[in-house]
Amino acid sequence: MTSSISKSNNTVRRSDGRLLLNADGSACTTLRPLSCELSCLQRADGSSLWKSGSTQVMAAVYGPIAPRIPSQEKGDEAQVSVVIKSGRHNNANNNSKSNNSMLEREWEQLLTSILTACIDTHAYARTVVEVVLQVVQDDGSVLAAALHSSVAALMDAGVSLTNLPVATTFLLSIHKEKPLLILLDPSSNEETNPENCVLVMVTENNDPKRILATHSMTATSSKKTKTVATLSATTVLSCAQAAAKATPAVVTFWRLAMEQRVTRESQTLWSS
Amino acid sequence: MLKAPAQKASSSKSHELGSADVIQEWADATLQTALSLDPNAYIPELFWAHKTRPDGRIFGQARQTTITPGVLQQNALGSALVKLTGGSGTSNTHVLAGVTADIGQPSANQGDLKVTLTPSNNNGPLESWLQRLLLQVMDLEQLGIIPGRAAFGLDVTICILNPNGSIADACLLAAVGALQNTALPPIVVQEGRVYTLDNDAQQKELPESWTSFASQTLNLPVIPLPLSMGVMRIKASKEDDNNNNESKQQWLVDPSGEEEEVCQGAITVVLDGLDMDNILSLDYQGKVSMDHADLALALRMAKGRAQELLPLLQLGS
Repeated sequence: MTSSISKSNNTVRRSDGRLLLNADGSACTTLRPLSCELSCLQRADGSSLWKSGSTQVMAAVYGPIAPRIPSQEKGDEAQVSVVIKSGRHNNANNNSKSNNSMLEREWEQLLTSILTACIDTHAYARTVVEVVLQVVQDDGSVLAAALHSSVAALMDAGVSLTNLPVATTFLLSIHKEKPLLILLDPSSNEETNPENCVLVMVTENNDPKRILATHSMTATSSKKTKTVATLSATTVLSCAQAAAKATPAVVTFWRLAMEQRVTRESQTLWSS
Repeated sequence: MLKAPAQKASSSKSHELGSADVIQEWADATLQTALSLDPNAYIPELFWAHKTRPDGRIFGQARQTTITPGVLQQNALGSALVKLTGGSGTSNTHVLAGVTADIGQPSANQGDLKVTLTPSNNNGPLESWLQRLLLQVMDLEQLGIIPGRAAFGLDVTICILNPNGSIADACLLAAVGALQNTALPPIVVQEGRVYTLDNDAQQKELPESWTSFASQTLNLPVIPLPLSMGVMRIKASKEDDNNNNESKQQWLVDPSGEEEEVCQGAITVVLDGLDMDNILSLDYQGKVSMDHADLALALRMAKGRAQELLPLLQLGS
């Protein structure tokens, strides 16, 4: 979309200043700068504040704890429960459920499924691991930030994970006459543009070529007069390959964050 | 579920082949018990390891699908009933969708579409998914009456009558079938108010100077066609594999209710029936991961299924 791309000094940039095209015309895809603060909440067993560019998501992990509702208890596994709070106040007219709050129910189900696959649930039978997420600031790619934030908080809480899930958000957009551009980590106005497609792919660290989950938010395809970005089989497979390459970046960042926290804690405990 | 075969064994007069019937009944009863006690163990061993499924289908076969439009004649503007019927009649999914409309004030020159799913417990995510998908594919501008002042708001109510696997597929097909079957009523605009008329004949009787619109059927520029597949990791049988620890992934098209409970992952792909290279939705969740070959397979199977489903929706309208 032309309004989100500005030309200055012959470089084409995206709305948040990242480069859009390389010198040879190919799409330049970069992730926004990441930041992770662990143990930011005192009461929770584990917590993290994850920032990806301007998007900020805070996660708090409580668990493994005894379930409050007996029916939640599973005999041989832990039950993972994810709640997303967006901080948006319920509007006066409750007739129209805001689409965003319904989308968050879908995300809760998706995150529950991903975290259940990655936590060593058999080690914590008959307990509940509760993850509470708060979207502090929404500037696109919130689902990925929420997942990364919850994994960081789980590591902070000391819950053992069998696998590390990494979410990569793809933006498919049409830019002038160029063929479909696949960009990473879209910001909010790129995501909400109805001509663009957003695809989230979650890969696992043990084998980045394997996909744990996908979630798509495609373009409003009924507007046939304008060309919209469409998702095709080849695009999906290209995204899967790109996700495999992007996975190690986030995993390396988690390691850095955890190393810093562990050295900081050990300094506090043992310095005398 | 357990039948008592002992009764029939004693009356040997009425059954010449008494012993064969007895054995058959005992086998059925044992099978039912096994399936209800521990489906996780028995469905893979008894069926999937032998490349078959409880209702007799092969892995790549979907259930027989029928879409009947116009089943609700009185209060709904459009409706459709979708039935996915399993082989033996025990694994059927039935979903009914109805469309009603209200006239309200829009925010722009377009109408509104709202999806309600009943029963609503635990179905929040499914309702949200259907709402998003239908909003993408519907051309809301055809619902406008007076730009900025009045427009139709469609209420699509989807009722899951019998949930037995692949309810997302059935709900989407029912909603699309109902929308195709929908005819917006003829309306007349008088002194800034909009009135609906009973039929087109009344509309023709009105004076020419009055602003009125004949009834119109909804135009769907995109026909979403879904496919749901389940994945199960099963231990390969000894003949297939040298290494006994190898477990391979088996994909099942259109899992029935009991299969869905045992499956370890599910993928739903929605394609546009009018342009099958266009993927409208791709959702995968599960306890196991899939690789790129699986993803490519799922997309190919979705195309095949879309080709099966397209004639059903084009005939029905």
